[in-house]
Amino acid sequence: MPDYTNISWTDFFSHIYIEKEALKYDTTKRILAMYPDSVRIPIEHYKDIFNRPHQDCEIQKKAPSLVLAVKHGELIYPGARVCQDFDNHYFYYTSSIMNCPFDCKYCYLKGMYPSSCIVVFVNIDDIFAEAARLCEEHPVYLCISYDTDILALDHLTGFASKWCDFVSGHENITIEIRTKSAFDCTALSKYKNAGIIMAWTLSPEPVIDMYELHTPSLDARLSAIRKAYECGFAVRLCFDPMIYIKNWEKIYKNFYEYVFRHIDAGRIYDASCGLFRISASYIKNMRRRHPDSVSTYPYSNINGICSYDSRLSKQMNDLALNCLSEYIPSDKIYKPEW
Amino acid sequence: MIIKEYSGIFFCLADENRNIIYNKISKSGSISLYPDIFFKHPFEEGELNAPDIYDTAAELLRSHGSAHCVFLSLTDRNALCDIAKSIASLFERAVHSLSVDDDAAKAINTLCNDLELSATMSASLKQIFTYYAACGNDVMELINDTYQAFRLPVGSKKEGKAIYAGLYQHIMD
Repeated sequence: MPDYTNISWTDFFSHIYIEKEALKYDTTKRILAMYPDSVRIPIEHYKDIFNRPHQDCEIQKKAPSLVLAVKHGELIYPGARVCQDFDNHYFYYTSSIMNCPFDCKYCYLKGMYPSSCIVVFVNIDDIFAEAARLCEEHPVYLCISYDTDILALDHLTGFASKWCDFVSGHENITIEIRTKSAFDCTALSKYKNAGIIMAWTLSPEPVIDMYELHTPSLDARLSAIRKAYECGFAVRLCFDPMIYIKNWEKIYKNFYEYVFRHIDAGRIYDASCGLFRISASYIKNMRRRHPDSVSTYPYSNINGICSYDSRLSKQMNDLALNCLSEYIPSDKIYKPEW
Repeated sequence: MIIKEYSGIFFCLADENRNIIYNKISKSGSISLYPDIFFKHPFEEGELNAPDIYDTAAELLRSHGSAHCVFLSLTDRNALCDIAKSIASLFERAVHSLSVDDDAAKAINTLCNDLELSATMSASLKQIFTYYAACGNDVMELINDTYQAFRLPVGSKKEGKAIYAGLYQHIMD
């Protein structure tokens, strides 16, 4: 008789759902070869899995499944208004992967997606073709790691490396690769002169401990940043989102000091700061699905965007800008409008 | 198909001739349901092609969510209870949310009435108490302290607003 009393979570990607259309792609074959013991379940369309009603995203995060799919329709989107364009007029983003291996409690994906399954769109060449078409029309600034952490998943997909390769062959495009990973950019150093901005999201250690589950420590990220600029990449520091926590003033002041004791500010391309902000519809979903101290905070809703009230926002923004200005020239600091 | 519920986990038992967990339930070639399988188990996995079961399975998934439904064939029906306890225990350990329970929710409503708050201020007070609970604090204790510190119900709306402001500051600072 089997022992049913000691049940545990399945391993990461114990189940891989595969669109029939995705089977022929090299990326699919490569990923499947990496997980020979996973249960493979053929599906017609990724939404059959991703958009199921009544999914328990918290439980799914404990034992995430992988979905391999082919993306159709719009492949590259105009940048969202809550995101910073860094003075780029033609600001776009793309989602070659949906969802992230990390579990940040404040992440807008928790309010945006009905599932924690990770979806990889294996037809990345189609996205490259669309990016190439846009490049012929005008300069393109494209963020490729918004709805996921593409560097944290590069061992699985190889997409970050492929993007670097694509950009190195096109002059009219700059990509931002945003991450919380400890990815070692040395392996990509041959692409250092292409239009690639490696962007790290940084948070104080108490925020990482409380709200950024399974992410690398601050020290690990700082080490990765040093490697990135030492091998020649443009590095952006994103102090965004700033989260209200008890003793936030002291914690964030110490945090900025700590970061720039370990980072050479003169080698930073630019930096951004911004408060936690999220669309009202997403926070509503997050409160229903994940009632925690981030989602239940009584935010002010201004024109459909929820953030801290104006008095607290000003205090937090002032502190962030004052601290950052000590190290980074003001013309290299970007902040959102609110 | 037999449906059994133990510890909040719903089992659909297709038959008792073999041991298998179904990760896909099909009605016809292209219409299928996919229950999540989060836990390690000693069974084979497979597809259940059963148009007669499909509609019941769909309803069960709609009502209870994919995490709480298990579709299987099992030779030993008595094992279901043990499996359910193990799954339920796994979920309880994983999803530990600090929220306002029913008693506290009733106490907050009573407090809003006793403070004579407007609908907007009542909604605001409920939200900050939800936040207070999510931060790991004892909502009932704060409500009891409020009743001990002030003579409630209030004599005027102005008095209620002042107490509301004090509570807001206490929780948010």
